[in-house]
Amino acid sequence: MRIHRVRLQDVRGIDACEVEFDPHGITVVAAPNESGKSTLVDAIRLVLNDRRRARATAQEVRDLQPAGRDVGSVVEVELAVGDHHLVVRRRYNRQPEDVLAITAPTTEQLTGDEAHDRLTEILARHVDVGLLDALWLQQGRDLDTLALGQTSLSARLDAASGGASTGGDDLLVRVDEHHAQWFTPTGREKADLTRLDARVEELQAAAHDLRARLAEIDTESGELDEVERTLPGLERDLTEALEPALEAARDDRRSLQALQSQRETLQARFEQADTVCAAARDALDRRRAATESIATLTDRVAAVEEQLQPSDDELADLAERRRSAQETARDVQEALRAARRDGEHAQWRVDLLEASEEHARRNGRLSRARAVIDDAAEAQAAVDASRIDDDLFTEIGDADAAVRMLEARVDAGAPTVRLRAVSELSGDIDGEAFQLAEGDALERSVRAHLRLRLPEFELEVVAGDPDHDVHDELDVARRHLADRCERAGVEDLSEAERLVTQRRAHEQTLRQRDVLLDRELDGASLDGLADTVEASRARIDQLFARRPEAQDTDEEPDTTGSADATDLDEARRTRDACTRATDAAELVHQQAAADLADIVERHESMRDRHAERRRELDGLRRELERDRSQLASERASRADDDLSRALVEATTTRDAAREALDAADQRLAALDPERVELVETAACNARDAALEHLGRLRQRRTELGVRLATVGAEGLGEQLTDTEAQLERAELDQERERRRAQAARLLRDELHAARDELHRAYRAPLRDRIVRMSSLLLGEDVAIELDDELRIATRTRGGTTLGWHQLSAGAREQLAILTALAAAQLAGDDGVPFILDDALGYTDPQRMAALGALLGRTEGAQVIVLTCVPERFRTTGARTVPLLTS
Amino acid sequence: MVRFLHTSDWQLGMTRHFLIGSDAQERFTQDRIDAVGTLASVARDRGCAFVVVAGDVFETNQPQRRTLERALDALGTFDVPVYLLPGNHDHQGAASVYRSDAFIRRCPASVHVLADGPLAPVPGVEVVGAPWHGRRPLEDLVTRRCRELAADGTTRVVVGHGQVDTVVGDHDNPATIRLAELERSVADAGVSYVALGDRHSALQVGDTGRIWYSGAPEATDHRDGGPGTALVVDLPDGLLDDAPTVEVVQVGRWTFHRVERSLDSDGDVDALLADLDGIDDRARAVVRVVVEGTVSLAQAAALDDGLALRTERFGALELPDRHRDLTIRPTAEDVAALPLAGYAAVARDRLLERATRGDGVEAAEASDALALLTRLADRDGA
Repeated sequence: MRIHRVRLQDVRGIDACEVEFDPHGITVVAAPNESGKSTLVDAIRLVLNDRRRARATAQEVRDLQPAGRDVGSVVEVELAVGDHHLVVRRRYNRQPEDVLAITAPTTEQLTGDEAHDRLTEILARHVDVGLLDALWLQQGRDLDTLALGQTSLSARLDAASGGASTGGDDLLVRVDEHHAQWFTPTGREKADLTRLDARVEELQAAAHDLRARLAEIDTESGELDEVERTLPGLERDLTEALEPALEAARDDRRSLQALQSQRETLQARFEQADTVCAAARDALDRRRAATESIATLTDRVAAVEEQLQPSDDELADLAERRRSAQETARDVQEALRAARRDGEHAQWRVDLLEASEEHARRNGRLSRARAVIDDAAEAQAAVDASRIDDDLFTEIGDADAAVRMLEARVDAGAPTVRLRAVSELSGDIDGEAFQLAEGDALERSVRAHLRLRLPEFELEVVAGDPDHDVHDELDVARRHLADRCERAGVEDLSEAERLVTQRRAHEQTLRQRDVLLDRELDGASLDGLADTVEASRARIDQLFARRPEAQDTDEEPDTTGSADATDLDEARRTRDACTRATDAAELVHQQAAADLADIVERHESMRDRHAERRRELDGLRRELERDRSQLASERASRADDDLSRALVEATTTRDAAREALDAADQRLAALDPERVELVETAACNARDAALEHLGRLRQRRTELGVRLATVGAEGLGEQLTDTEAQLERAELDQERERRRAQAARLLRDELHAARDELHRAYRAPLRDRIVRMSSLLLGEDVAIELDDELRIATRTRGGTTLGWHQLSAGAREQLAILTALAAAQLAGDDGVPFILDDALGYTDPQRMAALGALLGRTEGAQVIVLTCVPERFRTTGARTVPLLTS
Repeated sequence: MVRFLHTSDWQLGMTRHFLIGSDAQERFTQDRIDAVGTLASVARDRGCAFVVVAGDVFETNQPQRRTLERALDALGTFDVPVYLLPGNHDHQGAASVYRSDAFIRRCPASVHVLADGPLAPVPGVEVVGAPWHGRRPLEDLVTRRCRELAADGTTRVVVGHGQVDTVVGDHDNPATIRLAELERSVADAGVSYVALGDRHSALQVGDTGRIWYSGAPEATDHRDGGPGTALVVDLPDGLLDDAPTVEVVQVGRWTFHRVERSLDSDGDVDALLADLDGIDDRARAVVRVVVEGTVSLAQAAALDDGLALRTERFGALELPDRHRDLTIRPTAEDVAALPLAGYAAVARDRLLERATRGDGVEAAEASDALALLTRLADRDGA
């Protein structure tokens, strides 16, 4: 945004004035003090910054009116905003008007609300209005502050946000203070707020407690009413019903007791009579019993005597049968004994024959064993004597074969002599005799020479040029064969073969010896076997020594062992027959013994019984005698008739007593003693229960009365009414206060959130611009850090970092102005005017000159300086315009 | 002719929440005791032969000692016999205030509790009570009491307490007084007058002219209206057919008002405030402000300020619930007038958005926050 021109008419002390500004550089407006510089700035700000309606009536607007003149004040500003070129004209106070004339990019002419809204819209589109307000808030007013201290941009933003155009406490401070009424800075609720909650809770608890206590009183009061309603009825019931009923029941019981006593007397009387009567009957009964007992005894004696007669006969018969059985038993015993003897003998025969047979078998084995041993010894001797063995035999065989082979070779190369007998012929060839029948032929090969001797002649055939080597070899071979034969002690191979065969047979015998011997000895030694032979011999002798008595047909058994099997089988069959005969005899004997035992037992039993009966008869007879004598004695003292009479009298007396007692019982039954007792008990219980109940109720009445009187005096009901009213009030207060607190909290949170966002958005661009301008100004790199409040915290230059307060006054001033300039650049698309009011007459010419130089070297923003000492800004190369007023 | 004073429902010891927090409660309490003194003066001035109090002399059966003492002092100012009927608040149960030592010991000789049989204040006249014995009677006590009486030429005043069916319509409650039966019994028994209590404003019940509510001497609630009343009753001599003459006498000072307005414009707020300013004896007026409608922040603020300014002038000023009774819709005008810019304007716009978005708690809170912002921002503004 650039301001091109401002025109004032009738504004404060200025009747009319118009100033044109350099839109791209510095414009120094020169005017003496009190000539309206501040008015000019205020008017610009009012139009562009506050954007108030022309008809607004705020104090600032009212202040525009010239003193003592009731006229409208006109402010006209020509400016460029973005691509818009426009003139704003406002008349304040009298005949207010608001006119906006836009000349570019298109022409528009607006008035009133439309003019205002359109300007607001254009500004909002191209200018950061908040930042603009913040910048202009103090510009032109407080150069001293700007230059000397660090004016916090954020503080100005705060002030601008709150619209405090004239300073004073800003909105943020007020909101924070308001918030602080209820909350601590960290957002915790303060005591004022929590006290309300505590108050409500306290009253709720108190009301709850009071209600509970009143409910208790209500319950107890109800109970007391009930008790008091119940008591009179109960008391009446006790005195009018229960106690009279008990007395009547007691009277009935007393009557009953008298009757019961009378009955007891009658009962005793009856029991006495009954005792006498029973004694009389008893005496009579005893007499009758004694008489009957004697009769019974007499009958029994007769009966026993009668039984004894046949018993005697039976006993004698049994004695006879016993004797007979004894004889039978003896005979059977004898037969058994004979059978056993036969059996024993037959067994002995079998044993003897078996022993003989065993003896013969063992003896055979012994003989065979001994033969084997002898054969083996003979074979061993032959083997030992033999000079040939299998190896030598093999060698002889080989040597013989070699000789035959050589002989064959000699024969092959030798002439053959063939002799054919034309008649029977005999002779020898080389000493070997032969004999030929007619027609036979004989052929020999002549190895070296051959001598044929016939009866008639002797013919020697000599072979021509024999092979001497072969012959030599043959000689060697023959000598070798002869040598071997000599070693073997044989003539030739056939003898050697015979001798070898013999030797092998002997060795076979030797090899079989143990097998044969084992077979005969069967694990025993030869001596052992001999011992068993001896033993079996001894057994035979032993059997003979024990020979049983010879039977009639006894014969000497053959003990030589040669008895054939037939004898043994025969003997066994005989023995088995004897065994069976013995078994049969044994059975017969057992039967006879059993029969005898039976008859003996029966006989003895019968004899015992008989003796018993006799003793019984004796006892009975003695008893009968004693009873008879006793009865006679008793009758002598009291006759049977006396006893009968006494019984009749006693019975009569007892019946009379019985009758009296029954009459008493009937009277008692009519009274129903159980009922009388029950009625009395029930009446007594009812009376006691009523008394107890009454006692309890009276006690309860007292207790409740005391309690209610005590509690009633506390005024709980009114306390509750009061507490409930207070609670209702406290809840209302709490709700209202909470709502106010919540509004304060919400407002503060929103405000701070928006502020923080804004600060975050400004910090980086602001710092970058300050750094760029500083670096340009100082000709070297400078780094700047801004704090949260957008204040310069540190500056780093040439590697040295200094805090704000460590900087020189000049440096701080420079940075403050650069900060303001940076903000002015940031506040619009192409910055906003930076207005510096030197109205207070800044007095340090040196620093002012430096400031002027600084402004002259900055770029970008439009700068407007209002001063009464324009010379100070000459170095800036600024355009200086006079503020001409009229 | 026999003249007597009929009153009821003194409810001494009552606390009202809307009076707490100022000296109004003490004033209210004292005025209610003073009303008893006023009744004594009326009885004296109008030549009443006796006084019947038809129930609820005390707010509770367990009053504070102070209340009881002041009540007994006030009862001592009557020159004629006074008959107290135990009502539902002070029934004759075992824990009844009338059976307490404190009451019995200090009860003036001319004061009688209508707990048992009939009492005769003057020859030829009987006062018959139908007292409550518990909090919840299971029958219509008044009618039953009338049925027990026989027409024998005696002039009888029956004193009862409770609601009449034709007035409240509560037919299910067994204790409700059945008017038709009561009127029949009254005719049968030759009862001259039935003095009823429990209703806080005077009312003739039925058309026999014999059954009346006296109303409370001091109003206690908005439904009572006010000011409080008592009845001066003249019973004609011996002529049963003639109805008694009943005069309603004003004895109370407190009034209860309901100021109701629909607020839609600045003028409505002003009118409401003018209504309030038009109320007389404001120190003894309890005013309930009832509003509805939708207002801007500025209107709401004007209403708040106007009410706050007047709160102390009244016995009690019951304020409307801002968000329940009234919809506050912050408008663009509400906030545009504020000199806000920058982040404050951002915060304002966000709150405005939340306040206008819905009707919930959030919107209400945002409205409150905006109202606060308006107040704080406008402190030194236009």
